[in-house]
Amino acid sequence: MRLDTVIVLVLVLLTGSWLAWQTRPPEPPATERLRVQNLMSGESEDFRRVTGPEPLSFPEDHAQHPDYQNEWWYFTGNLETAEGERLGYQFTLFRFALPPGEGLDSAWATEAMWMAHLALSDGRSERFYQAERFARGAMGLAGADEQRWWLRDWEVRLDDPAWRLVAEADDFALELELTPQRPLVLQGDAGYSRKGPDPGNASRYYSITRLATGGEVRIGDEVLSVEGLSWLDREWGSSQLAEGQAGWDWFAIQLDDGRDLMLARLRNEDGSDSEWSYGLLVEPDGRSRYLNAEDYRAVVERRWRDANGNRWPVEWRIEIPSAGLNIRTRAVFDDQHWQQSVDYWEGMIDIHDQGSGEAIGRGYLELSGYGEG
Amino acid sequence: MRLLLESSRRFFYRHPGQLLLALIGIAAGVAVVTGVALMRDVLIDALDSATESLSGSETIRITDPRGPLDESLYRQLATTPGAPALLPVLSSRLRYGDRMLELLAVDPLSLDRDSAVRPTGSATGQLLTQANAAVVSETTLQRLGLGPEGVLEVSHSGETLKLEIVATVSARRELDDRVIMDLAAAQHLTGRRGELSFIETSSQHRDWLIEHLPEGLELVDAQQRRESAAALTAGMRANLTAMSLLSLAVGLFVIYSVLAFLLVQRRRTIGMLRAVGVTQGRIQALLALETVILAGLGALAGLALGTLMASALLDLVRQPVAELYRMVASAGIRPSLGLYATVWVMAVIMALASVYGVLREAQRIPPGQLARTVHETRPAGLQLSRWLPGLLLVSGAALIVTTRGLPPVMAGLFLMLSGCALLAPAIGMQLLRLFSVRGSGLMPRAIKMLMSSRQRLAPAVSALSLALALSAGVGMMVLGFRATVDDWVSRLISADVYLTVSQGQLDSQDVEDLRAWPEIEMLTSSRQIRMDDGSMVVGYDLNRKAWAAFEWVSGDRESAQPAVEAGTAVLLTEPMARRKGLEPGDRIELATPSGAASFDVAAVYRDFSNDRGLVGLIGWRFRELWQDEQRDSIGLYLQAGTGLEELESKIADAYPAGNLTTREQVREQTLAVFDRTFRISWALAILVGMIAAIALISALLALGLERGREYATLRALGLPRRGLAGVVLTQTTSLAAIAVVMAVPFSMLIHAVLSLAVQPRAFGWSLALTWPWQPLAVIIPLALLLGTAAGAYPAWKIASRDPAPLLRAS
Repeated sequence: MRLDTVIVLVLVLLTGSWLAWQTRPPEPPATERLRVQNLMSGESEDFRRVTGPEPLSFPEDHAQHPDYQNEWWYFTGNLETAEGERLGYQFTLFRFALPPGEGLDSAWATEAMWMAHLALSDGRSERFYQAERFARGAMGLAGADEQRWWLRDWEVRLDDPAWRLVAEADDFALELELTPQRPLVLQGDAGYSRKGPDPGNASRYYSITRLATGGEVRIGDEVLSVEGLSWLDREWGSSQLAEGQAGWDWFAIQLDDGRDLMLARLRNEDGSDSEWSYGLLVEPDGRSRYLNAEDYRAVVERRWRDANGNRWPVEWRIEIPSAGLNIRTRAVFDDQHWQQSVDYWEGMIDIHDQGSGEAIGRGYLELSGYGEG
Repeated sequence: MRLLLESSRRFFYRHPGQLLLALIGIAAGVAVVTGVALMRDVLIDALDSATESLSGSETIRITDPRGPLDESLYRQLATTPGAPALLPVLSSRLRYGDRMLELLAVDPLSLDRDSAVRPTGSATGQLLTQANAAVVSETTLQRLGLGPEGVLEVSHSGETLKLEIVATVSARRELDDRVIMDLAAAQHLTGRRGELSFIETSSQHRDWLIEHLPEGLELVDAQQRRESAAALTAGMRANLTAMSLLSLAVGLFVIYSVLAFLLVQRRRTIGMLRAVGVTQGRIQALLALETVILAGLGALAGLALGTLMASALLDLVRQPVAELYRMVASAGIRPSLGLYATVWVMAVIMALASVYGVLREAQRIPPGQLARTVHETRPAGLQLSRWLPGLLLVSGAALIVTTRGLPPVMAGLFLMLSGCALLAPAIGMQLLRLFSVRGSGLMPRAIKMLMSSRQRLAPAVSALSLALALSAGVGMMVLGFRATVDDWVSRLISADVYLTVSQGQLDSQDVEDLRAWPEIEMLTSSRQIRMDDGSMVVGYDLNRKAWAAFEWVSGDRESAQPAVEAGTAVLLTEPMARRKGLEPGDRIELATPSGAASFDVAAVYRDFSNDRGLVGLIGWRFRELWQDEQRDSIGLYLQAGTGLEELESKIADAYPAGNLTTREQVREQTLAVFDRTFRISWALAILVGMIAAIALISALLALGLERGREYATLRALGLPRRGLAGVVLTQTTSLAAIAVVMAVPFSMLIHAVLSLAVQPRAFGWSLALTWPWQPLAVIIPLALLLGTAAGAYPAWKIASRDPAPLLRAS
């Protein structure tokens, strides 16, 4: 080919590609994730801090505590259909207080940002459904009082003695009745749950560890009647994580022998266990015992790698000599990975006896601080 | 064919200037068409894209036809079980210098996960709690010349707001010139507590909304919004389209004139090719292929130039759209492959059609013809009957006079311009003949030589005179229009000063208060409501001076005033009357918050403020129907002897947020908006003028080069170099002169058709025809100067060339 032809062709090609490049569709914007550490450890003088035990009273303390920076209402539960098929769910309402505003002349002016997480683990298809919502604490869009905790039309309403949970996402929905089977237990020291060397690295924390649960779950167009056990965690404070802490592994276990076990293993940024890890063992009669870091040992047995290459410890060996427990926990399926504004893992687990291999209970596991590299 | 292509390649190597001119001609025409098409699309498609980038594509919008939405509707819908994600939006206009920005206030927490301004980290907190926190796109920041985390000083209803940019969002063009804020802060700053402009959601939730929406609200989908944007900007887009098509026509004349000239130069080659057995069909195929390649390459360059041009000139279109139609269009164009392909194919086909005559002529070249015959053959393309130009002019005029729509008037104008194009060379040559018969000497001789190749020069003369006429005609229309608007606004504003307030409202009580002031002789006041289709309803409280200020198009004050004051009749502006086909005596029905109300049309008056039209009714009846006691402005007529400064200080005390605008300031502001509106027309007129310059240079260079042999003869006969240069310069200058002379009546024709037919049909208002001389005063000397300058190169080249080889060739 002659040189001039080549030059013309190159020019045509360049112009053509420049024009084609002009017609490219707009790039989707980069979405940024919220970092758990930022949400939980931001220290601010504008808010009260939890620095020691204080008496709690109910139902008043079921309502929000606007003086503190963050707070959550946290339900998890293992469910079963009549055919014995496994399902798990999570419904959480988070409140994040905002720095004091400038007294805006508007009904939209707000002091808090609310976030709700709704998830459903379908053990049959090993699919994890998740939905996230935000709302401001204004215009009646979100809030929590003694009787009702809500974000738009997702709500938990006290229908004494039971709680009614109703939440509907695009492709799944929950409508459950949760009846406490044992009294509310205060975590830590009478509800003062310390997580670091500074007495202010703490939260107010109580739980209802066993709620008999029944109702309906909708997946797509399919409606399933379900029964099972749920767990409620309530926590508020202004600075939960100490400097140098990277995240936590949280276990909520309901054993077939009637005991309930909560373990919160705090991790340092270097990967080691924090000395501030803690736990709680609840006896069938409702009596409970605080566990500190020395009381138990949790070892990762298997990790699952997500699409981003992050490795989540989904299988554990846990020893609690003082309770005579040597157990193995296994995710019912691996991919129960939250991937919305916050990156974490929250899913149903099976509990087996380490020695006999026998199934001895069920529970929920939360892993945080692994997906933010 | 390979051999043929080779010969054509060699030819262009020898005449790179000709090649370049052909390419530039077509590229310039295509560039204007592409640029205008892209800018036109922005006015329709991209209007929606800002909210689209916030809440996703294919959205549906909840609006209240009676005004702003009550924000409690959002709570009611959002907390209903099964509610979809809903985005509440409050939109306002902000002014930044002479730029309009759109304030989009949203609830950041209701934004879709994929939304461009998704809450992240501390910026969300600032947005939610700070009274002046705002987010803009990175490109907006650049466009406004601000650094990150800068302070944006804007004005809203006359009040200065200092917004702190707390974050930028990724550079999506759709958010250009948008300022995103939180609803609470925006309601607080703009004093619009309780209001939303609309609620937006994905259109897949239409059924849910229909089921749950209260009575009286409307659902508007993206298609409807695009249609209403299209209707609003129809006039402006039609104007742009007309200009772009005319530019393309001029570009095609350029390519025709170049190709026709190339054929002359290759007559010898083609004759030889025919002699060695190349068939007529082959020759034609070669020329057609050449045209396709030339036009194709030129058009490709034109697409690129047009894209650049649209990006550069877009603001000239966006500004007036924002001012006049309250729509801040996207600052980025959105080219599509479909558009590029359409324009490219159209350009190539039109180029082929325009050189059809040249192809026919090539067919007639007998084998072995090595040079032009003494008696020049007429190019087939121009073997047109004598009555064709007349027929085109008459049928074009008939089309314009007998129809009412905009497309026929454009078609009519096109026909008339085609007639002019055909007429131009014939009349121009007659004029030259007049010059040549007078006197003897070198100049008449030079002109006679020029006339001997009149057929060859015809397309150049046509292209030139049309392009010049178009530039001048558009310029005359704009200037004439400006004079009309100036006259109208000066007459209409009869009060000495106008009072408006930037925060809060003026109402009936204020009118009564002011009436009692000793400084004030009398008052007028008005309240405007914008309807869905962009038209306005105005409640007027007028005094005798204000009544006298109306300029009646039909009907008169004597009969109109009593009927309007009695509340049974309304006044219509000319655009409104024309759009609805109404005249005095007809009935008009208005949708009001109190239900439909019917009125007589009392009179139609002249107005250039809104091309969607305006209905005026008497204030008390307006307040009764709209339940609205507010006034947008109060016109104050001062008692003789009252000083403006005295009044200003008194107003400042009584109305701290009050602004006084004098009559002269109103006039200046109106004309400033007008000037901004027509900047794009000037830009296009200048572009067409540049194409005209290209056509002129191409024609003149061709002329100079083509006649080399004859110049050689003159040199051989003893004409000195200087004399020869004089001959060439005379010829090019006279060619420019006849183009200019022809351009004068053509420009007047274009001006008349644009003013008397296109403006009324596109915008609804009629213009009085005036004859501004300035555009011609610029274009005539410029074209003559260019004519002389473009002759200088061939003159120098020919004069310095050895005549012998050229003579030998003959």
